[in-house]
Amino acid sequence: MGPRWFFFALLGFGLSVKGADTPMFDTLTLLRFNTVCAHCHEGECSGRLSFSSGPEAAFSHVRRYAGVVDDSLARQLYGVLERMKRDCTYAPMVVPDLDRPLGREILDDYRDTASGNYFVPLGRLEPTGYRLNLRFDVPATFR
Amino acid sequence: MLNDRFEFLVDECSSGDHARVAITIEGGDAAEHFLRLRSSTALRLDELELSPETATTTIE
Repeated sequence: MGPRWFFFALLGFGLSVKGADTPMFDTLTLLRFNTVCAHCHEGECSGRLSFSSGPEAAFSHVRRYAGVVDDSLARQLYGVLERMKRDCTYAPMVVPDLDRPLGREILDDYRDTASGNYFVPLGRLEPTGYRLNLRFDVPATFR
Repeated sequence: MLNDRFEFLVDECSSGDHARVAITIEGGDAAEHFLRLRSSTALRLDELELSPETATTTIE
């Protein structure tokens, strides 16, 4: 082991993030949780609601709502929910450089391929007005 | 406190392909924000641009 091993280890982590006291979640997990699970679980900010039965007890529930999910992903989704309950925030993700328009090659990294939904962290924004321009591949409306 | 968010539901339509939204973050300190787009179809986002502007909330 040496610098080369360390480089490949970092490369393997991709967009994964790890807080000082949080487990590591890969991008797929965060995108699925933030675009699908958070539809109902957003704002569950009390550690008192944590499960005591372990992640396996929630697997059928996870699969019912989160699409095709193997045991590893289900376990990670469970972990992300536990984190939200404890820290009352979304898990940090790599924030894209918003000083210039983001193209599809970057935006695809923030799209959950199973749901087709996007979750794009915008970073720390100062209170003021902003203009948000979105261009889709087909004619679209949003509300 | 949970992060602040901008959330939109996106649908395919017969015309127009460029959505422009003026959003305003009021008062307080800088805070973490995120954008969530949900769609019932397989829309792909080709471009996203966020720039500061003084404006009120409108959807074009």
